[in-house]
Amino acid sequence: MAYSQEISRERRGAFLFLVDQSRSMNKPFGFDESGREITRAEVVANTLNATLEELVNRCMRDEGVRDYFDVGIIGYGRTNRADFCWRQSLAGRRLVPISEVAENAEVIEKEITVIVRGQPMVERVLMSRWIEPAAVESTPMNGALRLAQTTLEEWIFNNPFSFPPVIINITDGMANDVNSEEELLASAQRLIRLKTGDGHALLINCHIAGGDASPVVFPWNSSQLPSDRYARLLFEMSSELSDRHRAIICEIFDRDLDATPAMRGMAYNADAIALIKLLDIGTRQALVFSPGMAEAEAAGPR
Amino acid sequence: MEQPEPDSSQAGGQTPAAIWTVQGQSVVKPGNDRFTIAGTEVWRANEDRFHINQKPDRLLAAVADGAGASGLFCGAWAETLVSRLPDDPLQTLTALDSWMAGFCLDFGRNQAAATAGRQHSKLVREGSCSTLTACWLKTTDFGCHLHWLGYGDSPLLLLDRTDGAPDRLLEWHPRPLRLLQRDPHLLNWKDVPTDAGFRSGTLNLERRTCMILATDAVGLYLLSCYHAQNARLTGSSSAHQSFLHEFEEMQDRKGGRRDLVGQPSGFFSSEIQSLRQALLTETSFAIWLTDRYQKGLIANDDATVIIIDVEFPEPEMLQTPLLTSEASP
Repeated sequence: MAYSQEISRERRGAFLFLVDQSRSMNKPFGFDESGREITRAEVVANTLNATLEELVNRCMRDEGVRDYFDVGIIGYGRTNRADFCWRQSLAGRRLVPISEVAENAEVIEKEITVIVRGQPMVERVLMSRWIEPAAVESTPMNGALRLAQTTLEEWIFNNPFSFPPVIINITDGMANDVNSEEELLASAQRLIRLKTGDGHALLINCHIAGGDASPVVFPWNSSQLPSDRYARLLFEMSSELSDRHRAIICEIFDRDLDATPAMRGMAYNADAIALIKLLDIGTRQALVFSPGMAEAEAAGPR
Repeated sequence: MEQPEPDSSQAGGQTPAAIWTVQGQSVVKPGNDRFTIAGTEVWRANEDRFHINQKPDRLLAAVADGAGASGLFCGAWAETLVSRLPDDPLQTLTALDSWMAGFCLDFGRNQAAATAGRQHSKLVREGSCSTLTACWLKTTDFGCHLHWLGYGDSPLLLLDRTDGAPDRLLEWHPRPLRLLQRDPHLLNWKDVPTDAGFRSGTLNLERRTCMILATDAVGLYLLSCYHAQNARLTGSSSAHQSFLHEFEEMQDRKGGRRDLVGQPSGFFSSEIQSLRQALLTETSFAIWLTDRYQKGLIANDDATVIIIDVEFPEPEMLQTPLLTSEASP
């Protein structure tokens, strides 16, 4: 599989985010800039909003936002069933073109300091939000994977030659809408088997915890994981990443590419920094539309 | 911002010491994209710019590749860069920075005033980015004095054509390619240019030469043509092979290799001749580019080329050394 299709209006890409909204997401996950304790749900919502804003930014040109991507967010745990969690005018929608995502954000103005030719200058900029923190019920992750599958089957039917869809699942615990681990694994593997002419769907799982345990990010071998059945299950549920992703990850994490023959799209015990890096890397193909885009990629995330 | 009127026809500057002819064209990428704004289909605009300014004893030529993926209004920024270049060469990083200081903030302020909302946010955060490759030629009693500068990955090739056809690469930018892969270097009105991105050189040309300024896809293709031909002639361990290997690695890293499925197999001088013909009109250059894009030889990108041929009519000049370099990075 090539994983090399250039993204264009005719060959658009898709990002589908699955977000755990179960009760346990209310647990503390660090502190914000003012020193206030924040929850897992808040960190995930903030990080995901920033990721969507960056996707919109990358698709923005002089003339407006170009529809290079369709984007969806499935929440699971607000109720006992998984569902798309767009709000306001996007409520009820599934995968949404990025230009509509841009137009339908909740926007606030904020003052930031930018450096212009070495001098700090205060500017007013827009900050967008699409998703709010939620931590309510149980963890119907299997339902989310199945909803992702039916949604992406339709998307692939309409976009058979596109770069395959990328699904990023952010969770803090085990699904409780399955009778066995095998059932959850089977759902994940069905999702991964979906494919376009350019490759299989990429499922990236991010388990967040924020405890003392060290995060394991993009392992290439299950022996790198803690001796934890759930870690190994998530490993099995996660896609092997493309060579391009592997090269980028090795560069970012300063790993030896030649000594890293494969890599799984997962993080375990991720803290906030690992979550941000995983979302950044998982959406990197948003930067590769054309040779010019590669310059932005090489310049790194802003 | 309007695309500058292409100086596509052959033009000449003449002094007792040197004659030059200049051709240039810029066209949008062959696999261009279109999109819908308020129900109307709009084609993406070319973000490359070039500029040629000739006086009786001097020539200024420049290309700039607006990097639309970084920031906004990069075509307009590229236009500003090439059209504001001074008559005298920018020989140092300090000179480049001082020159930019004269218009950077105005450019940023004017663009910011014309935008609102999300676009304004992106502009003030990211600015506008472009490469710049420029050369200044000035005739002297001893030949022709060349100063060039490069910031970013828009190539410059200086070729010996003593025997008529350009057949030996005397100087080129960028090199090594791997530096560009790690850090692309773009001029931004928001930023002070850095030493890491600045390349320049000063040369005395004393024999017939051909200078090519280009934006990256087409310029790197021409460099590949040159090295592919010489690799065929010199074997697998040559510096030419090293270049080709480095080029392939860079394309892989950029994701641009998807476009490039072939390696140039013809003669370099024939390809330059074909390019000269193509540069006669914008349409013929677009056809030339599309042909090579469809063969998988050139990446899908906006393309700009300026070719400058420098001649020295006095026969006695041919007895002098080919090239003396005063400074080169």
